[in-house]
Amino acid sequence: MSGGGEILGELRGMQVPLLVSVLIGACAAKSRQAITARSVDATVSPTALFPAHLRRPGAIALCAFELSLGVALLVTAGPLPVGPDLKGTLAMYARGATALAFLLAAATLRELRGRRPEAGCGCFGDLSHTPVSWRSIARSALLSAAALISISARPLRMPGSPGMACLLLAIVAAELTLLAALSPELGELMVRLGYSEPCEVRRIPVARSLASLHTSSQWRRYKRYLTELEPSDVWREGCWRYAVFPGMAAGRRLDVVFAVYAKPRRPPVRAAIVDAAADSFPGGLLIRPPRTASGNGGAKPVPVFVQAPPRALYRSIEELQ
Amino acid sequence: MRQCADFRHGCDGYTENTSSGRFARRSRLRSAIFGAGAWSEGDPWAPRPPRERKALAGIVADVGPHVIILQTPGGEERLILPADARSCWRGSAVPASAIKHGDQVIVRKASPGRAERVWAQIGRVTGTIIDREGREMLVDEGPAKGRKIVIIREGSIRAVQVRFPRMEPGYLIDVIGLRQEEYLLGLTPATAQPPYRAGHPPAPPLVSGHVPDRIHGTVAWHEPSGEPPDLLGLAYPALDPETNCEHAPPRRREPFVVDAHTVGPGCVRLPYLSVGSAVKIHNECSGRGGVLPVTSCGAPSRLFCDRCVECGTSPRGRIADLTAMAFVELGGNLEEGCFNATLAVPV
Repeated sequence: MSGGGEILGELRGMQVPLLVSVLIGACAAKSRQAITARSVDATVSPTALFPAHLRRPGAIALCAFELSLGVALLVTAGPLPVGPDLKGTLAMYARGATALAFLLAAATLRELRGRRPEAGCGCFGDLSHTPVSWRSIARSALLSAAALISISARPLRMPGSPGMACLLLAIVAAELTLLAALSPELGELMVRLGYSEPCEVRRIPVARSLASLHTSSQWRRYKRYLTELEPSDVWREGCWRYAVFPGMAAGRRLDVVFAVYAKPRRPPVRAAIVDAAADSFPGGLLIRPPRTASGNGGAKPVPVFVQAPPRALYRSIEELQ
Repeated sequence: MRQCADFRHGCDGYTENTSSGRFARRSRLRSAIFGAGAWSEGDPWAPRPPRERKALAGIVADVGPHVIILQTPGGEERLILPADARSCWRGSAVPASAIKHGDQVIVRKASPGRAERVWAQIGRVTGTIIDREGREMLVDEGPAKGRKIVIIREGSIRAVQVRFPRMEPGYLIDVIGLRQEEYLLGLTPATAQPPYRAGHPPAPPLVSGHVPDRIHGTVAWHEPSGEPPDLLGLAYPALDPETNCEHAPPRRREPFVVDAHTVGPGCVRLPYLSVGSAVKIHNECSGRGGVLPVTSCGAPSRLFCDRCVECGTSPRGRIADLTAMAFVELGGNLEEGCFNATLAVPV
């Protein structure tokens, strides 16, 4: 056999483990989603084309069929206690059925895209939630072609030379890259692997935020203006939790508002002072974040009121006193 | 079934504390620390004069072939009706003569004094079916809104069933129809039924780093149950669990009733906000947008992992549930049930 023919033969054999991985992986992803959601219905996507009463059995049958095909491909690729002819026939049937299944899948996905454009393909459970696109359809067609060329492949064996092994690896890598490019699930998988919870959705108890606030320099700086140590209002917006405390300075009622970052340890804290009587916005007295006086050694920051509008008028609490 | 329909629990919302202005003050206090920045487009809580509003809600005082007179909270409004016969809705596109005296209507204005679209007696039921007898269903809309009865009109049952094949207890329903004395006469499906049982929405895709500044998804609308009919605001699905609805008293455990606060974040990952926060909503279908305040808890929206296909296919998941007035103000058509939208939050 020529070098090219030998490489092609090995390449055909390499399709079998690839197809096994895809089929068993798809079944495992669907099962995982069904177990997590405690319902087989959660995995329904291609079966959305079925009548309602057939969707659940359809989803179970699809998963079982993928697993059966994967196992059949795996078993017929290895040593079997049957004659070589029977083994070859069984392998041919398993690979032929796989090619047919992927071809059918491509046609189904095309139909699904037309009739339920919002539905994901569900091929790999909840990883496949994006609407069916030409990529998913092309992937099924590619896998069908891979199964088709593997029908008469011989069992896998070591390549004849290091050069041939390298060439084979390069071709398989190119095929895997093509499959990855056709898989919208890959991006989702990468996100899950490198996941750390964003601060905007991180649950932080109020008591924790207040405890962090009480140890902050901003708290020590403005505590002297507070008339109560219990917040009059607490709320959250994204990464920041806000706490408002009633206060008093120069005979004026104040609201001292603190913002505590949603971070378990040593969160940044910001503060501002607002005239408590300024309920009728705009035109009320809004006080911008206190500025630190730079000329007095930085020992004591000077909170400043800002009349808004106009913003050009500044008066410090000390001036008011 | 009708005796069960008034079951309702309290939840943090705009109507719980209007006198103190506590919620309205929150976005100002936030601005005191971080500045208004890109959010200086005006105060979302400030009352807007009727002339500046695109949408009006009121009760029909009189209606003729060319003019409609509404009794609104701000006084009487006289509007010229559009010439297009399809611009009025009362169960379907109807001529203005089908609108009746005393109907609750929502109008979108083309210009001051001139109506563009009119919706009369439109209502919506969105929630979990907890009982069904033939065409009559008892639907749980969550702790804040309670339960409603919906009766699907005989001629509409097939149309609704196409989009909601599982009209049985434990599954979700979302229908639009005509408001009646004690129930909603269901006429059209608002969206398509998610395939899972109500308590099992899929988990959202994970996000690394920060939640995106702009989140795309579906925006729906709700009836003003307990809210002023002309309120411009939204029910937000991801209120801070530490300071909002999750601290409501636990509900009695009943079959098929799903507490949306216990099923996870839903299928779209939204930053935690609070009642009083301001968000920007941009209607991708009409091109209109605006800053709206969060006025109530929209946790039941987390159950709906669906898409809007009004102008292209939106990503899965509901990002906001607007009041009917806000929905119309942003260019949405109530009978369509949703629009594709982008949400931006001040984080």
